[in-house]
Amino acid sequence: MKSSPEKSTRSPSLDDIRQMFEQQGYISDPQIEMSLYLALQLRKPLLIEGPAGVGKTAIAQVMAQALHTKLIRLQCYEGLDATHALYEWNYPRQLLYLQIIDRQSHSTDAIEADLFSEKFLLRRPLLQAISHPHPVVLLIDEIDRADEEFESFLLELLSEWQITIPEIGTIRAQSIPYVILTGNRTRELSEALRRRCLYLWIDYPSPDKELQIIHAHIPHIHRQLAQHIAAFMHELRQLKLEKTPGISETIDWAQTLATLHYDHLDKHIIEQTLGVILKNWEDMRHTRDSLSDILEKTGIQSRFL
Amino acid sequence: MEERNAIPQERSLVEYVLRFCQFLRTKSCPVGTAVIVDLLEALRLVPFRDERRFKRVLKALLARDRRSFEHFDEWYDTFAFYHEKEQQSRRKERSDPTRDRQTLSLPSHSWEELKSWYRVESSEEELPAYSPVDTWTRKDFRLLDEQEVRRLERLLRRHVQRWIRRRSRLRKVTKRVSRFDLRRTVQRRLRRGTLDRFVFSTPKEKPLRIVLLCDVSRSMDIYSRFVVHFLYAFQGAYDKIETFVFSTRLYRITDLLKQYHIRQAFQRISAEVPQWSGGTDIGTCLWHFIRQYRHIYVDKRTVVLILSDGWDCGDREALARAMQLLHRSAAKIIWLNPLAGNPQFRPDVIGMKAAMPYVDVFASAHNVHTLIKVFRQIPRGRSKRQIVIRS
Repeated sequence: MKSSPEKSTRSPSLDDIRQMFEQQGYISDPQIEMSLYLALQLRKPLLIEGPAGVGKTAIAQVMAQALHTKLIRLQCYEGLDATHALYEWNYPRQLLYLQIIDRQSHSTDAIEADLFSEKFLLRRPLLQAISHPHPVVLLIDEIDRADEEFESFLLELLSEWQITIPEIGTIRAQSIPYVILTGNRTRELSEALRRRCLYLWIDYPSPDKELQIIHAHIPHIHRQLAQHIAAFMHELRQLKLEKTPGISETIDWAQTLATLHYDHLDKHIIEQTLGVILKNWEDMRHTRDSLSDILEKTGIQSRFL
Repeated sequence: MEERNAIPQERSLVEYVLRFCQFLRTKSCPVGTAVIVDLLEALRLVPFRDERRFKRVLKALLARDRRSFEHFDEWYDTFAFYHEKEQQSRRKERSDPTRDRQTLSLPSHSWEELKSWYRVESSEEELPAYSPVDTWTRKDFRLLDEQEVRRLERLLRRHVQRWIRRRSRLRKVTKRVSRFDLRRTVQRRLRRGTLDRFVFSTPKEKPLRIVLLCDVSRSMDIYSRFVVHFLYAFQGAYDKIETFVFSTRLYRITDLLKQYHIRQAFQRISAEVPQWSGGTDIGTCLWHFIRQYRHIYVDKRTVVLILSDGWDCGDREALARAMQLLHRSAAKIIWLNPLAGNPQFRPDVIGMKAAMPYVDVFASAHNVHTLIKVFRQIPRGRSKRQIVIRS
């Protein structure tokens, strides 16, 4: 299991990836490891989708650490365009430069060549990623927030691995980065993009997995409390909430309760600290109303009953 | 299923994978050739010992969206189970033809036969039963032939112009010399250092968006011809529209409607939407919509059109809450109920009752005449009182 003949010396094996996840305190599962491993081996972008706060972005961080390389992150948003993703000329610096130089002693051509040299080029994440001498991990976060135009632009980059800047010429990738794309399904991604990527769907964790996650992040937490939290979160996500809490909320909550030195959950405690996991008034009211039901289902006994 | 040894030997591996890909296609999970090449490459890379790992490799490469990702294990197990059965029967036949074969229900099948057998097994299709409701409404919709659809589409196009041409307060730069934009000209002057040209701008258009949620459960069956044409005409006339169909589950069919001709489109949809003319659970479907699509497709400029008769066997409370949320986030909610064309109609079906308080416009959509009235309502702002259109 340790080594396969085809494996190059540098790219990590399936076991390396598992160990790396463990070291980073990321509780993964075999499917995540397999998808990541294959994405690395086949040099394909990995598209990760799932609800908010289930650790999609964290995978890229672990990957960068596993490969001992830099993580370059491009956060997408509506209206993101090439000037923010790729490159831009440093206009203020160009202006300053023009004011400072002595126009008599320089020819116009020389000035122009200078103005549009790499010195005045602002490298945005995508250009940074492909001009890095070693392959880096390029995280394109929340790709579905960007416009469809940007998506097709990205497709071109991901297949050609070169960028043309009119004033300088074509820049070829010095190294091909490992690409991870994440999405919240705020928009359906195009088939073309899906075809080029490996796909991974991460859902909310099972209570067991969530328990492990809590212990991994807050080692000193009381066992019973952690169990209660995991069970409660699982039931809470079954409710029809407008904003279902993710793992990060679970960790925040566990942290809060551990700091307050609680060793169990009961109705009173939950009501007081509900604001840590629910950020919506309607959801809070809805949860308060069905709190007894949830507690009954999770088998948490209330001390005060 | 534990004792089966489904991972085939090296020789038949490629065949096994290819068959599985074919099987996936019957589940409307598209598998391209390029993917298969990648998959074979991946299988070479991964030293798989056990079936679980083999399955993970397949899943990592073949599942390309959430639906296939979530159903993958189930599909694989189904496939492996029948594949194994088939292999067994073959082996038996070859090694010992005299042995009795009563334990096996599957004799040696060709792949084509087997595939059709899987398919029949998975989709329990039934012919819709005749339901003798309101023969007069049926007659209405029967009249909708191809020409009528085209008329409907033309009609829609005319109204659509009004939905697009809604002006926003934001302005956009234009090359046409229309209204001089001082602010942008000064900005340009600052950026460029010289005043090279004036900048003009016009108000940005703020098109109305439409979300169409359409009930295709069995109770709506008699209107299905109408529904089909309505959906298609709507999608064809206006591009700021998202179309969903639901019965017990919700499906987004916008892309299908855009890509294909009407007949092909609906063949594909009925293949991909297994619950077509099944039961109804409006509440759950609306929640599904709210969770996954509301933040994408619904904002204060979005009109939500729901086409349903309100016959519902789901949770009434959930439906009311979902409607409340939708009501709050959308520009307005228009409920089209084909039953309401009947003068005796009262909205006292459970689903309809729960939804009614959150509906801005309630209309019968049983003929083109009422539809036109509905179209007129679409671009108008929300009014305080519920508008009922029935005639």
